[in-house]
Amino acid sequence: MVILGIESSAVSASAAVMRDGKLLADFYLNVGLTHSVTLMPLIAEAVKGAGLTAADIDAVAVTAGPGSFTGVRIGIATAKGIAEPRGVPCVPVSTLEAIAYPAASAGATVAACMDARRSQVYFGLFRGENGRVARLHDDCPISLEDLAPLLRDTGGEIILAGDGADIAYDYLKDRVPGVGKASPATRYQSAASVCCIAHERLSSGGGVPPAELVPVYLRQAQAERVRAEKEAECP
Amino acid sequence: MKTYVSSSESDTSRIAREFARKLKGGDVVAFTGGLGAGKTFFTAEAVSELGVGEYVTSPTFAICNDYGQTSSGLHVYHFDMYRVLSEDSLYSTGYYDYLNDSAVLFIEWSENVAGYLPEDRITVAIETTGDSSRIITIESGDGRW
Repeated sequence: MVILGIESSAVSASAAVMRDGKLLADFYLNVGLTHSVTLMPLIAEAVKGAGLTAADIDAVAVTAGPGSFTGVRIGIATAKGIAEPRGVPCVPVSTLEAIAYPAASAGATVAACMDARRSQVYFGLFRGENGRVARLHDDCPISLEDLAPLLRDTGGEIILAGDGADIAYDYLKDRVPGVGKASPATRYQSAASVCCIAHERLSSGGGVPPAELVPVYLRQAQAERVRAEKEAECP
Repeated sequence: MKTYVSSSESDTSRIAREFARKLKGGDVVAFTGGLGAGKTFFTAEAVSELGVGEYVTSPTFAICNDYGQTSSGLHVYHFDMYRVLSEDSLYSTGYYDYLNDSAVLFIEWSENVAGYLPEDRITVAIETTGDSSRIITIESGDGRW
């Protein structure tokens, strides 16, 4: 089973290839939001570097959001474009789970936080149990003010990860005992984590047809709002 | 804050071009002023002074025009927020993806999204005082205007 992992939900872009649980290639760039230019060459190099071709890919895993609006769309569209003609499944992975994976898989309790601006973060809570990562809280947008009591109730040592870790830590450090920050090496989402999560999920029958792969913005897109407003006017 | 009185398009052009020469990476220029006040004209002159954007039009339908990079490496974008009325809508225009230290954003109808723009934005208010006369008030928090 060869999994192609794609990650372009924020400022960095990465592509990784995993075969039967072994990571063969992991390519990463963090040079600004230029995914429309950088992502496909990264994928091509990762597949080529692994000594494979597109015909060898059995599943395409991708961070489906939350994240940058254009970044998430580019990742999803790329995954669909690669999977659809080959008839292979896609595996949507929460960006927050991909952020939490490196520290949580080592057994920590991890609060994944992405900066959603204006003192809000996209948040998901995870804990490593027996080498697997269990979800403790659904992904949601939340204010730092509301996050503090939630994490106090969780208790114990909590590691903050993601591009919102710094703002969350600054607010939470005096309000929630036991919070700390993940090291930069294990703080961010990556295609390698996407592959690991997808590998576990596929072994338990996960995966969706490419047509059913959809972005998860945790916000309502403008076009959907306009449609909802029009439908409300003209039932 | 600086206030200019313009009595013609050529006055406005001069003001806009002088304005453009003081811009730097990371600047968000937020326009206010009603239909026909000259926000697009001001932007076109400023963008021209920066050396990009040969064909500047109001991105009412496109929402964002990308005029490319200046010779000094500034990337120039032009937004029209006329139809963008909430933070979720703003997010789905991709606006947040354009904010960075090497970008300059010109934003028409900024009043629609004023609560979500950076606090250190530069505001350009254009008030129509006659057929071809305007009062242009420019303000920034850092003393440039």
